Amino acid sequence: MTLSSLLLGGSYVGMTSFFTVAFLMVFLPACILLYTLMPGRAKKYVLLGASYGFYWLISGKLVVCLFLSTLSVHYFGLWLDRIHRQRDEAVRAAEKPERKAIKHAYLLRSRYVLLFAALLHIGTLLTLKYGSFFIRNVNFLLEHMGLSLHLAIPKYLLPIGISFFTMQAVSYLFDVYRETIKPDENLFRLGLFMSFFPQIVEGPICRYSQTAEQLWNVKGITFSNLTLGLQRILFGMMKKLVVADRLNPLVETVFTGYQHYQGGIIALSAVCYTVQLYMDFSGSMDAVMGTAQIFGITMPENFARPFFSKTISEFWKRWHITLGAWFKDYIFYPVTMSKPMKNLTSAARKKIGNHFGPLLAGSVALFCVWFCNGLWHGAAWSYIFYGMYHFTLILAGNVIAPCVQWTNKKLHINPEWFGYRLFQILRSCILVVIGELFFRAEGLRNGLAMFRRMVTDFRFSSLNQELLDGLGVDTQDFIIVGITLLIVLLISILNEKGIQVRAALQKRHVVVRWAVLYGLILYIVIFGAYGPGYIPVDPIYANF
Amino acid sequence: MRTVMKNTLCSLLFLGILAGLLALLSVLFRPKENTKEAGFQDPRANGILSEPEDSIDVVILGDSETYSTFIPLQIWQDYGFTSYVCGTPSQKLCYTEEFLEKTFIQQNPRIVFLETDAIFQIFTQSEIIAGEAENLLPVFRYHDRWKTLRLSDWSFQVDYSTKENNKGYLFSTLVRPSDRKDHMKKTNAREEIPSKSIRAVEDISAFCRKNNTRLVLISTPSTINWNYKRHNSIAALAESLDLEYIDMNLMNQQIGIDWSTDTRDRGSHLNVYGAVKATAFLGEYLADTGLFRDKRTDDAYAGWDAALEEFNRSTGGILSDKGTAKQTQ
Repeated sequence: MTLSSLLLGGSYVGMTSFFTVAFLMVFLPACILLYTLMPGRAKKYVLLGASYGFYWLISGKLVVCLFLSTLSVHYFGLWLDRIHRQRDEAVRAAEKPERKAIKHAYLLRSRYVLLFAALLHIGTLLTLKYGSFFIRNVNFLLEHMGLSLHLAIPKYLLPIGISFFTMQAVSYLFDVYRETIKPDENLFRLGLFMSFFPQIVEGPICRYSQTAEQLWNVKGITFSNLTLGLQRILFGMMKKLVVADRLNPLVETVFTGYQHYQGGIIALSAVCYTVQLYMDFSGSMDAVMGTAQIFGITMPENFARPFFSKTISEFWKRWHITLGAWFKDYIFYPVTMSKPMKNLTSAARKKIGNHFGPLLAGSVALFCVWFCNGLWHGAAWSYIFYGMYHFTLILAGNVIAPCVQWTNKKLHINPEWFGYRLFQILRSCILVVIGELFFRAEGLRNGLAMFRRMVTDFRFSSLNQELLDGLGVDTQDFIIVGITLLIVLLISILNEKGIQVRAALQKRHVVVRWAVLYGLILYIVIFGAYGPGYIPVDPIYANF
Repeated sequence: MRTVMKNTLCSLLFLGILAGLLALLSVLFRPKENTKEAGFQDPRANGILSEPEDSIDVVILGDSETYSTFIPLQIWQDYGFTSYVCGTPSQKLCYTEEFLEKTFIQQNPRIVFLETDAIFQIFTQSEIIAGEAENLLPVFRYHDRWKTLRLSDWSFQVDYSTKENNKGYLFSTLVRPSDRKDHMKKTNAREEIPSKSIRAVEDISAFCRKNNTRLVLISTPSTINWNYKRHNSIAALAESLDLEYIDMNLMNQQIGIDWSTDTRDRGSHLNVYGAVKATAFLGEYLADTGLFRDKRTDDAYAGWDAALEEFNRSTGGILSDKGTAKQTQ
């Protein structure tokens, strides 16, 4: 392969996933080599160049969007800081009674700047990602109102990862506004924070305080980081190639033609999709974390064994953690702490008590969070429904919490009893699977129809071999998926108990270490769903 | 420094053992026969590898259009020329190049046809590298055979001598008419050819020149996969590379495709009735070149007569009913 052919950019390189040959065999080794050869102070620039190079290779000319976004964030960050400094000077020069008014005036000024900057970024995201969805709905309304007006549906090119880097940009602006971080005067450092190549496609959504300094103060690659990072990439590869991609034909077939299948098959496909999504996304995250670890960067984890959750609320603290944290910090708290919500809480506390009073304002904030969460995943009503579904479950959990506690006490049920916890975990898993059915369905109408069929036409007899064979996944596939899930489960249990498997493995004799690694590599080579007969599956979250 | 040396040596040893293990697995996973039942990849197109050395006059490369359009045994029946269709579904030019190189190890065809639909198939750098890795270590290509592995697969012996009777052609009598009449509406517009495809055609052209083989670009009849924009692009490409270009879509008066009876999937591919007409056209073209001798009386090619007999038997005498290709028009 020539350099020029790699430099073609766009889809011609085939590097939309971390598990492609172009990324693992060409791009990453080239980065590691260049990074190692460069002297200490130049290493950060290698990462910056690699990040922009990577984005160009997967997005072509749309790399300009990333650059402009960084440029704008840099400018507005400095503007906000200038306002803060002017405020401090004015406050210092003013008499004590005037200080409050001065602070308020500057607060308003910085708020306007923040609002303008956030609107610019979120507005761009809304226009590019949701413009056509919005116009389609307006046209639908106009048609139902009997108006002959029909707005043209715009078609925009959507830069890969725009949802992720926009959220990083907005979080940076908010943090500068809140003065929890100082603005970065160094455009290159900010640029690296915004564009770091492992995270640009699927996250995690990092805060400036979490990664910017780490990225800028990188040191040489250590042998330990290199091996640990590669091991994590391998583990992610197993999840993606052996499980997620192997289940894809079944999921694809049933969700695109559910009319031909009974409820049992639909239920099975919903379970398979939930497994696929988790293995795909968490597998990709393993690749992200592993790649970052090679360069000595520790990124925030995005998953913490979500299927061990006892409630939906807990599930969202373990699943796509950085997204949940973003919504909590930049939507939930601002809404809850806003003046109208505080007033509502005090009024409600008096009327409906200390449990339900604060819950009311919290629920309004929760609604905003879940509406945005649903919409963030895509421009479709099914995603909004998905958000509302989880909002309802969490709200219901909050409302009935005292009732559940009372019942448990009366029935002498120990919430820590293993059987009870298992029941809670299973209940959460079932609720999550139902949510994922709507998430994956081709539109809300199909989702509802699938759910209806799953409930009203469920027969175990439909799960027969003959039908399963027609779905592109046979018994042997299920066995391999099952074995792999057992491996993942075992590692998850150990992690849950605080045992770090990779670190524990590092302490073992070299023969054991190598045997485990060879076993893992050959397991992926043999049982991975790749090559002739398989259609490569792009990372699911790259579409969001 | 000692640590660096030690780590480097350890890494090299680790990779060396890994390469050995993959090579060992490749022996296990490589199909032991060149048949579909044995799990051999694209046995129809790869059947050319089991043809006797230097016995093929013409090779046709490309995607599904090729094996739906040309019947090598009809050309044999009518003219005594030997041809083979190395077409595979959605064939990308990186795979085409691979086929070409494999073919020339044993064969020395005088003409290579490259069906142009394949030129518009987009392929990525990852696919090119993956293809090379699969050739080097077949376990990457045949790993999915874990489902059917037997004890006898632990063998270094392979038998790739099973011949493909239809010489790459896929027989189909399905009729699903096409109602598109204007797929070749004239225009000056062009469809962009992927830059990787242009480079691949250049490489294929250079390879053929080096082997003294004529490369001809050919567009087979299809109302769905072909149009005038594509024609214009390929015509320009052919001119820039000094290649001959035949667009059968513009020659329907000579070929006589009837889209109400000659397609198996509403105009995307021809069925056998259309293929007989298209092959008659190709046969005539080959005869006009004067490059080939009639081998029907040559005992060394008796296998072709047997294959033709078998083809006619299994297809209900589709070629024998038609007699010569000219009578079908």
